Amino acid sequence: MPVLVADDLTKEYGDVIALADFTLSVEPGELVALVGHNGSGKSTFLRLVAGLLEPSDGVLVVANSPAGSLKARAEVSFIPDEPVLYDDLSVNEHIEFTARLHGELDWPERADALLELLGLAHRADDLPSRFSRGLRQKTSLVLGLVRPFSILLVDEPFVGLDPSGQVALTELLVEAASAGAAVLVATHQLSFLDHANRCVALRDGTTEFVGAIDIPRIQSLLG
Amino acid sequence: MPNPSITRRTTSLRRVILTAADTRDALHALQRGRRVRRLHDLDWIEVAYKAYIAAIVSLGTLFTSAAIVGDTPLKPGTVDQLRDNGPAIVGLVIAVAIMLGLRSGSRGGPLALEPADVNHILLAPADRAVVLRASAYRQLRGVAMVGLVGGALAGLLVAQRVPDVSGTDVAGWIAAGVATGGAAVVAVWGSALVASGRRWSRLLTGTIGVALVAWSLLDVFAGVITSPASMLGSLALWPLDVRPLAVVGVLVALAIPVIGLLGIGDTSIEAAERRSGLVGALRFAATIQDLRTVIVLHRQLAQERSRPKPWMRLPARKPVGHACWRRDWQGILRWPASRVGRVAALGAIAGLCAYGTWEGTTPLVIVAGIALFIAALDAIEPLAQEVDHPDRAQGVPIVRGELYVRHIAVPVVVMALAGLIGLAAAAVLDPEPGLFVVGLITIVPVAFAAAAAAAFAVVLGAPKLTSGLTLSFPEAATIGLILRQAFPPFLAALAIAPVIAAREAVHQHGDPIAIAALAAVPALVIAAAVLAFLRSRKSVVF
Repeated sequence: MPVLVADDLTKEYGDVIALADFTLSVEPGELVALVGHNGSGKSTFLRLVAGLLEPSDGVLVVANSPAGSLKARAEVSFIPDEPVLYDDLSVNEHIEFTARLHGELDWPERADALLELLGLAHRADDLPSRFSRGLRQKTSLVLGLVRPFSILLVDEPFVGLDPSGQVALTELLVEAASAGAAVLVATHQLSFLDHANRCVALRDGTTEFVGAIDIPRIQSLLG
Repeated sequence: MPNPSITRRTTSLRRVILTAADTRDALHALQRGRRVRRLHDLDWIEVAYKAYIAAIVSLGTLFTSAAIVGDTPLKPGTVDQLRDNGPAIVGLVIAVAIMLGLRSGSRGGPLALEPADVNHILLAPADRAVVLRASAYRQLRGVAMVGLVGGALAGLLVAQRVPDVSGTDVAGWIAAGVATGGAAVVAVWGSALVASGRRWSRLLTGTIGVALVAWSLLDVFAGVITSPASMLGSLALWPLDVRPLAVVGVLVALAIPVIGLLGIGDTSIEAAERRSGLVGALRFAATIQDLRTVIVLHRQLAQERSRPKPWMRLPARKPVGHACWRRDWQGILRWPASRVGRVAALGAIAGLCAYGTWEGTTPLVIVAGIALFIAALDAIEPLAQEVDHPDRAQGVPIVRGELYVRHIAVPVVVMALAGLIGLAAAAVLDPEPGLFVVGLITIVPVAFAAAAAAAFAVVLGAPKLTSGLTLSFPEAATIGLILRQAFPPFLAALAIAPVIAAREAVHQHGDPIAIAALAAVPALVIAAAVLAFLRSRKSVVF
């Protein structure tokens, strides 16, 4: 039973077609890599699933509910490419607020483990507004992973992360998929494809390739 | 490998949809936490300094407005006119404001959430209506305060001029101003909220807005009070004439935000997100007085984009001809309809204000000057883009200042066209040929002065916050900043001087046309000085 179904999904901005007739079905436990050049439609698709954008046409169902609906929002965790954080909340306060918004009471232990894993434990009481890009990205990752989800959407997560952070994040994403979540990762990092079950290649808003990982073919498709 | 309990436990957790009470609790906790941190980080000396500056500016505004309005009691005939026509005219102003509010609503206004609110709270499994309503209440408090204070100020100024015919003292005028200002502002804000919550299209909001304004215009010309806006307008004149219809106007005004708050949950999150990023940047640009950035962000907020196809194509020429002249027309011929309409409307407003000045209301030159300056900021766009991209000019074998001046010619023509629209609007009210000639003379300084004023503002850019003057004498720097911001609209307003001079010449049986031509000289001289100043720019000025 797919947890995410997109059927002839289209997103237009005036005259510009960001995503055209996109069709995809993702099962629980799948790790799907979205690849393509800048402006190919990867982020648009993730933002549509998260409910930040509204489709111009087509169907988008998340956990049997329309994308962006109350029920869908309970299932989807979205980690954007650019960390979006409050300027006046510390990392811990961000985590507490996020957990509260998802009705989570049992968050401190998991939060501590995530902070430790991503090397943020010693900065937990600091303001992310004073962090580097990489540390802000790590904060954003913690917030996306500390709450319950069955679909994890991650947009360009490796940008700005140090090598140890990249390794830790890859392991977390693989672990989330093996725990039963559908994980969709938009990335330019083709080495990540080794960890994915499936790949979707996009170009100018249209699907170039959907299937099992075949790095040489994907490289040739992306030019 | 990470601790398997982390993500395995996360994915197996029970999904929770927050109740309204839980959502409110979470939001209150967030606000409480942020307030505590803000108070902790607050620099009380800075707060005291801001209050001090605000008090100076407020008192300055009050005394300047009082001086402009004057305290000569109105003649009995004028008071009668005010009593009869005032409600519809105030109503017209309110209707225009509601039209603008509806327009803002069709683009996602009036709420301006923080980007983090959109990404964390609106994406959480919490009722968006509860979340957005909490934000709306906070915004409403600020908006209502602006209306109340503005209304009180207007009431105070009117009380100076209107003789005490009905035993009503100043307090009565202030109370009427407060009630009208508060209700009007809340109605404008609410209309934007209704439009965004119901996702009304631009066509629908435009149609409703134009219909409201047309209804109010009919009231003005027919001398009746039938539209809700006119009814609300009659509240402003209660000290002169108590009209029970005003209560209906107030009830309608208060109902609008209630309807908006009820439908707030359907606000487009896509529009909210787009708006959240732009509004934050817009506020920052306004704080540092970066006019150009404010304009660019405002256009993005309004989703105002150049047309893919120009209104008409310039004929191909070999050789190309004057590059700046041609490039500037190519840019202007791609203006979206909204910008064409805005410049035309501002030209018409300036023309009508100039006519009002001709009829004796001299303070209207200020409104005309501001309208012309805003129109010129659009007309100067090609030059502004040159300033936005200073590196581009490095590759051109022309001194930067020379390049700036070459970009002025087309804006001057555009402003002359806007001036012609203003003249046509004034001619509709009074087609007298002598007045028409004075208007034609006035267009010359209007075109040059407005274009020069806008060029000055754009090329100068945001003020330097680290200049010696700012650091050593903050008060002097404040005055300097005000003068710097006031000079361009002043120059544009000075261009209307021929109208005042001609009016005075008529009163003293002189030759209005010759006097008008003479009165055009100061604005032209200052505009020439500004262009000379711009031409002297050798490098980028910040």
